[in-house]
Amino acid sequence: MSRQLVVIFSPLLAIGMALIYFVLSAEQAEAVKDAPWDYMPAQRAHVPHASFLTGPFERPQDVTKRCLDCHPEASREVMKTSHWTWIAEEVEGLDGKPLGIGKRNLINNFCLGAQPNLEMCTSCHAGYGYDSNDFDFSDELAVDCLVCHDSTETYRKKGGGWPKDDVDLVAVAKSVAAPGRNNCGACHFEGGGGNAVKHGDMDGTLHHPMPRNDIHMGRHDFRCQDCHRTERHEVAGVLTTTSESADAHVRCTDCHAMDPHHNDRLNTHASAVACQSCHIPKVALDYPTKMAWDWSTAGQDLPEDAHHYLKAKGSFEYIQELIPEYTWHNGRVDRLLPGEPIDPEAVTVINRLEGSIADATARIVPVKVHRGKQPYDKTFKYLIVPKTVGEGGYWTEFDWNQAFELGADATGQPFSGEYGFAETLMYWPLHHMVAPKEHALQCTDCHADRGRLNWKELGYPGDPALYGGRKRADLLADDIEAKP
Amino acid sequence: MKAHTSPFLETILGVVSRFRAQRLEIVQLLLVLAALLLLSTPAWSQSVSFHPDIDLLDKEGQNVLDSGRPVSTVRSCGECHDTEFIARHSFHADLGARSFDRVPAGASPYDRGSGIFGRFDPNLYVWFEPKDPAAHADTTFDDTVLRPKTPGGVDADELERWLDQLGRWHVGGGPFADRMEPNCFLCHLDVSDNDARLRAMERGQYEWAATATLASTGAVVDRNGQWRYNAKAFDPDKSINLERVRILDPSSRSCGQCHGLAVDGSEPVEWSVGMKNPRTELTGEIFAAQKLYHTRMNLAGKRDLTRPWDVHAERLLDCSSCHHSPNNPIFARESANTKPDHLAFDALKLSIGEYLRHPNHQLVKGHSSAQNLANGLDGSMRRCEDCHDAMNEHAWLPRKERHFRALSCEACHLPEMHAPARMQTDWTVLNQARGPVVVYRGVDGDPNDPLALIKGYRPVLLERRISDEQRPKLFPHNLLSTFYWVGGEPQQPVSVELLAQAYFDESGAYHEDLRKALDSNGDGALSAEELRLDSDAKTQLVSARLQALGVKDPHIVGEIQPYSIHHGAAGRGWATRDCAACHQQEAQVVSEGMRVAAYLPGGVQPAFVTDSNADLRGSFQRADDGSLSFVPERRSGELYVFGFSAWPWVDLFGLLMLVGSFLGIMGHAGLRVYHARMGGS
Repeated sequence: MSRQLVVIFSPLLAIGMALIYFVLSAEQAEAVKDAPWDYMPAQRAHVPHASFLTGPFERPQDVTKRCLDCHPEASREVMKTSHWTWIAEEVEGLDGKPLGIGKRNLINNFCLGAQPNLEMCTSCHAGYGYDSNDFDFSDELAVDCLVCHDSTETYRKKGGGWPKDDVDLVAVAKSVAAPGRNNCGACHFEGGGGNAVKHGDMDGTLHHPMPRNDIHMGRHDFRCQDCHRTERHEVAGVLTTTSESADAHVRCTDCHAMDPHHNDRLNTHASAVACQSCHIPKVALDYPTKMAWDWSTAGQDLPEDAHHYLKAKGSFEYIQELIPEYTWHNGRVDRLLPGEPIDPEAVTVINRLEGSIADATARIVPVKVHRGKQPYDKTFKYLIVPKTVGEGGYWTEFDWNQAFELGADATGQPFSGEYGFAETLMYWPLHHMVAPKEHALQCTDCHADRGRLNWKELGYPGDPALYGGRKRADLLADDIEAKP
Repeated sequence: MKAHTSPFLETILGVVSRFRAQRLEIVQLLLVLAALLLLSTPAWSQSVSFHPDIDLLDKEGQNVLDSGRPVSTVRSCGECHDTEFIARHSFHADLGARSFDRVPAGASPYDRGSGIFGRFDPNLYVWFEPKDPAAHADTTFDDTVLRPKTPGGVDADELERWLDQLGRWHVGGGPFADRMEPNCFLCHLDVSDNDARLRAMERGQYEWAATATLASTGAVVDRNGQWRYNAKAFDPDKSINLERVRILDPSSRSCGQCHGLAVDGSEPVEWSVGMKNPRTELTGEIFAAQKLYHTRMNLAGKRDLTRPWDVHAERLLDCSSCHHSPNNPIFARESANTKPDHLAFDALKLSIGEYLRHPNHQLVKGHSSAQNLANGLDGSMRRCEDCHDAMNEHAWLPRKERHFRALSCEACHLPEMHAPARMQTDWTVLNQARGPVVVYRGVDGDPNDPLALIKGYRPVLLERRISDEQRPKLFPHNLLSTFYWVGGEPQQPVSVELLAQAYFDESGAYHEDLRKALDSNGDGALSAEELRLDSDAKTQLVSARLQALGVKDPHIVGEIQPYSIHHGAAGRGWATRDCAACHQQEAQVVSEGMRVAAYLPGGVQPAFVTDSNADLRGSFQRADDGSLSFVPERRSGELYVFGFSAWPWVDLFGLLMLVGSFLGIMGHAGLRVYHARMGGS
């Protein structure tokens, strides 16, 4: 009987095993190269805090004090971050000594600089009372927990970083939760003084985005910290406009494979092209972003329009549906330091993106290029920051000399009394507004006649689809050096 | 700093700011900008032309700036290229004239050639009068065409009529070499002005057609119907400056000027009805890199149509990538039929210089199911499998070899056409523009209406045997029926002129009796839906009018032409990959037929043409609304589709196996029982 069972079941077993083999081999063949969800950080379960934060709270610092009762390290952690210090990193200064640089002391070509204008700029500081250089950066109770953890979407800040007068501190405190896009967006979507003004790839549409606005946030409801992974309140990421380092960049490959495409030819692009170049075909999709700001025309009694001319600020250019420009970037930045001499006859690049076609670590990245015309000291040949807001500021007095003198008092950079306006340029690498893959760039967007990449300017002899990439064209410095 | 603004752009910005400061008139500013644009070579322009400057010569070899006569391409281009050779051998110039009156077996009785010169295409409705076979048994092409006054040959008026009606698709040379030289500019100039060329031809200025093609370069201008050269567009030495006029390999746009909609720019794809784009009109094929949603067409579900119109166009290929010159040393390869077995690659090729001197313009081609021109070149082009290694892809597909034996790549990678295509051309009636009534598939409503919703259509899969492969494969097709009147002795199609006399009075209005008969709703006007002979009474009325005009035995015939579809391929994500699409009883892809006529004029059932290489076995089904569909024989046909087909002998074999197994088991069990009862030893 057992022999008969063997005879009967052996073929069945063989057929079953063959079926399993075919199924498994088919699955292996279709194995997914790219498995980003495997790398997504788990989100902690929310603990309702309403019962712990019942108030009343006289001052916002009282809320912080209550938070510290249970999270005693929180303030000290925040105080180590650039959200608090407004110093991104330490570099070698012009005098050869270490110099901390960051939003606190660097010049840009939008509102020019924060130092003389703290009473307004610090409405985006993660603390209370930073309205002068005398601010106590060691005061743990001055840390603003609510700006990142409010979930009522009613918490708004004013000058000095204080909550606006109509904020219900108890309601806001009861709502605290892990940060959402609204918390980060309150400052980062409004950079440059208004929605979409500064970044181009971040604006108010990302509060409640559609997939076309950003595939991660719009289709998968990502929160900022899903990519900007945060440990002990230290948020990962580098702002290439205020730092020089390449160390802490958030990368697509934190989750995605280096060769995520089914098409090998697309995967080979990864050695020279950043993911963003193809997957962010356009930014400023629904709101225009500022592309140029000419301070030299300020102060005239011309017709005013927020997108073209304001007497206090000068003339602007805005663009909606911005097609990026493209340049090489290896992650590092050569940042113009405070007091660094410029050539006023040339265009000064405030944050030069390092890298070239010869640099194997560099990739072609999409950037928004913001062009400015801003004040400089004719004698000392450096860019200067006026005081624009508040008492004596240019926006009320329209007196450049007074504004520059007040600015010099705040920055410590002397003002000679003679000023002019020089052309400047800032690069804003684009990382957000990642389009659904169906809307990524196609071959013809770059490789056809009149494609969006200028191969000659990028250093190629011609279209690499025909001439070969930089490795085949022998353009990589390492390869050249490696030759006998 | 790395400059991201081109010098050109910076120059413009500089001028703009200076003009702003000086508050000059905006018109002046625009003029300066326009001049800068015209004078500057775009920095992003990347295609390279090594072509030297050209001296444009007339037939006498004199520079056209001096003579003012039309450009002779044979003389001008012949300075370097063997233009006599080019004009002599290519089927683009010949258009079938070489095989005139030597039509292949199975051809239509109205065919006198295999190309558009001589072949009767009912969509275009142009044909040559039949010659008297007895009188001209020994005549040659030269006798009948090049000497058109030969009695019984093609009359000069007929040639003129052909040129007038079909000349837009003729590049020059061939049967009309003395009227129109081969128009090199039409295919090789990146800004060829086809509209100007057609304008010249419409005026009968055939000798100026090639010259007019240069209009977009500014070298020649149309002044009150006369073509005048613009000396400013020439260099001081009277040659044409090729910094602005680029001579290149033909682009897809070049080919598209005659063959179908091919867009190689970035502008939105725009479709319009008419035989101006014949392949698009007949099949819905569009060759463009743009994504489907990037169009002005009112496509259904447009937002989600994120694939390009053609994946190859999107991947930077153009028409000549596959349809190349056979002796182009870059692409040339020897046919598998003639290649020595021991060679995988033959290094003996023309040098670039030799090729440029004698470029073979007999472009390689595939196996069309609707054309018989240059059949000797069938299969000479690169097909999908010449570039793609399908076995290394399709990891998801079980039994790949079996699938690839039965299916063409197009069968899965052209699952749906997204542009409308013709379903029916009805020449039994004439619309007010003296044209046929045309019914399209894939569109709701009048395709001329920009608001008509374009839904596209699913091609029907028909078996075709291509190349020397042993088994036929399934290819996607559109089936197009045409209906027209024939009569006379010998029978031939009734001309549009006669039809017009039958339908219209001297004022150009429909004859009153016809109008009343056709005007179903009695509103006094004839809509497209009313312009159809859908009753005996209406048919008899037109028949009587034709007879009155001298047409003997007028009657309606209908034919169905399958058009194979090869362009507009979808990439992997959009190809058919659902097993159930074919392998189940209700599998639509293999079972679905195709509507071939919305109505049957005169109740005539159309028949398939007899010179197609497609397997047209199947059945016709008439629906309640009067439409006719064709359903290919598949369920019991030669091709066995697992899960769908039902071959009786397979069923019988299965039944026998079942019964046999049952009997075997029962017999075995019976024997065991018997054995046990008998005592077991």
